Amino acid sequence: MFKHLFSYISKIHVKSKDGFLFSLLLPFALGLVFLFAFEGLVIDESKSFDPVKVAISIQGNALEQKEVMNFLNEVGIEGKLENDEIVQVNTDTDGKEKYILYYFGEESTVQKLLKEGKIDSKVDIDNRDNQMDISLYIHPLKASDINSQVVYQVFNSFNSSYHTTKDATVRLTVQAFQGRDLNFVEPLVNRVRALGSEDVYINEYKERINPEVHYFFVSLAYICLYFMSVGIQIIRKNEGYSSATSKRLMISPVGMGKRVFTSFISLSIPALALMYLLLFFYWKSDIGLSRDYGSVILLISLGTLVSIFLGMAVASLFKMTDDRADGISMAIPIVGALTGGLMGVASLQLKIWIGEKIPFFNIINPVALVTDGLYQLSLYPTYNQFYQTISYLTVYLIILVVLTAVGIRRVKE
Amino acid sequence: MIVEMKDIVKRYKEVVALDYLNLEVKEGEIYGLLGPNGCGKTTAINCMLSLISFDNGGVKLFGEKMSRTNNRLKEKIGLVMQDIGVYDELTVRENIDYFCGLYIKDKKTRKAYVEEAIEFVGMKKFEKYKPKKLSGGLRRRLNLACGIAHKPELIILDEPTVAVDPQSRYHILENIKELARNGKTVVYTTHYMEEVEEICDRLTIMDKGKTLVMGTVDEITEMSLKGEIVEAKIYDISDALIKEIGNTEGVDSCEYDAVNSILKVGFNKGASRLIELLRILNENNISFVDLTVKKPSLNDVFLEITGKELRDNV
Repeated sequence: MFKHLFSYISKIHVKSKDGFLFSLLLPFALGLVFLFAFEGLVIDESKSFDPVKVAISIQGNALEQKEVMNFLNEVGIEGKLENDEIVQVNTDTDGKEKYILYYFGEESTVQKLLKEGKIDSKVDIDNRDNQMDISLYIHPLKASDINSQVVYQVFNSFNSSYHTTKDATVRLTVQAFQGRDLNFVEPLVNRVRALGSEDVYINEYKERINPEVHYFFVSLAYICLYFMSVGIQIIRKNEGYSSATSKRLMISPVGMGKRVFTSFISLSIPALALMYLLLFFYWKSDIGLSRDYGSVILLISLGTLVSIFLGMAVASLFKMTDDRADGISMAIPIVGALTGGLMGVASLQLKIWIGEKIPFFNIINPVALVTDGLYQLSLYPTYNQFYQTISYLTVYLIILVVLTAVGIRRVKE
Repeated sequence: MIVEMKDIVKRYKEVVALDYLNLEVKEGEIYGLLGPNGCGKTTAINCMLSLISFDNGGVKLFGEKMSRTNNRLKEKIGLVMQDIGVYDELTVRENIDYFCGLYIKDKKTRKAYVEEAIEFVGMKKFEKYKPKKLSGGLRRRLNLACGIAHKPELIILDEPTVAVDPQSRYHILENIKELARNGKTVVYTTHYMEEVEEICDRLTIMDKGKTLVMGTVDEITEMSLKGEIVEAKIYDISDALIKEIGNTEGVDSCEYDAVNSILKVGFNKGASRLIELLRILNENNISFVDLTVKKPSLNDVFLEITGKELRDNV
């Protein structure tokens, strides 16, 4: 039965104007348009990422110092002091991404550099009491910058790896740089501690966002949400009230669940295949998309599935005419893209405002989630926030699947 | 009993679409649901098939309670809808094969059934056509084939001849009679009384969701208070003679349509005075052509009960 349904549903979908033109050709064309629009404009941010300048003072035994240096060499480049400025000792990065430019110095020198704003962060490492204490000081003026997050993530990663390999504890504390505006300390510490939370992310957007990169990511996310129309189609083609053919299916002995499942498989495969093809073109064009292929594919797959199930949930819960279905198919992705920051600076400001005032909206907006995920993959040194985004999408998907299952059991007349 | 609908009430907010509708269809008969547009025929079918819920009453098909999830019952049912339920993207054969495949799993059997259905509706030479290329009548026949290809025991036809040319209508009606001859039970809704008179064993006349009358065609027309109506084409007749005919015993009414030259004489029920009428015309040297005698129709019964015609354009 599955084979019979699958072959005919696929055939009908591909041969129909709605299915081929609006579900396959149009999003693909849109994707290519976005590709051409951003090609040349967007460069791979990770490649042009300037390592964050960090000065480190270490107090402790030589062995522990070596541990720290070995780790830092993996993620950073060693620097030296020249005319009160930190410069790279060696420009060779072994082809690896480097996040920090670190300089080991005396505590007093390091303190001076931070005071003068020559470095983003100062790090004190003290392992004299069989306990490694890492104190991270961040310049208040850099507090809202992504650089402070990068440094935090680097040392947090060190913390994790040290804990795992040595079975020892690292005490990582974050402090604002003392000696400036003390009122700034508490919110700063809270903000940095809350890394991974929406607040920090929003501030990072404010300060660092490169609009072209953002538009590119949000356009890709918008194409994912475009497939919401596929979800609506899946349900409407099986709901008895919507057409004579679906009424005929409704009185057949093949249950609604089985038909919807088969339709979902038949229609979501081309949608996903199309997204993968677009990704292939994007990667080929060397546009600023993360090269972490697995993670990007996971994110885009989840985003597309959430969008399809969003359409399925809406269509299964609410009875709608053809016109209303068309309207919803167009309106929701556009609203999602608008609030996700696709349409110019004002739209980007709107996303920031939503993030501050009604952050929940960003969690239920697949465009915002996928955009954030792409951004995190491309620009963040660790996967923490990306995994959070993936978990949001997964929970969202599960909720939508449940809503769809409830919806298709309801009799709509 | 193949179909039993008891005291079905269906309301859409203030509007009562079905008002305690009762229906009983026996095995092997063609049962008609006759009524004007909007009288609740399709709603009755939808309730019968559990496509919509209803506010009161119950439906049993083949002695079993019908529900949305009763797939065993659904296997025995074929539906031919008022709207044509076929896919424009598939050919005639593919359409029939697709819908038949929802019921028949065995490939060989299905192929044979599809072949039979195509032959049955006379569409062999159109089997590779897409529905859009077919005439309205042929699309209706394809619609019928899709509904019956799996050889259901109960076939429900909801106005299958709407907007169909006479040739296709004849074809469809012949198909339905053939199905009944093969032992299928047919529920047939229409607002064409001629079709019901031609094919239905029994029927229910509905209006505003209510059952007005039920029985065989003869039983229902017998209910009419009117008698026969005689119509003749007469080119010249005086007003005095029209009056004389009107005053004849047993004559209910006498009208002359001067534009079309038609004399129309209605007799009281059971008082056929055709010989008397012919005698009067002969005595007055009135020649006539195309004399027809009409018995009361289902429309007359409907008109007498509701005060309106079955079809607006009748």
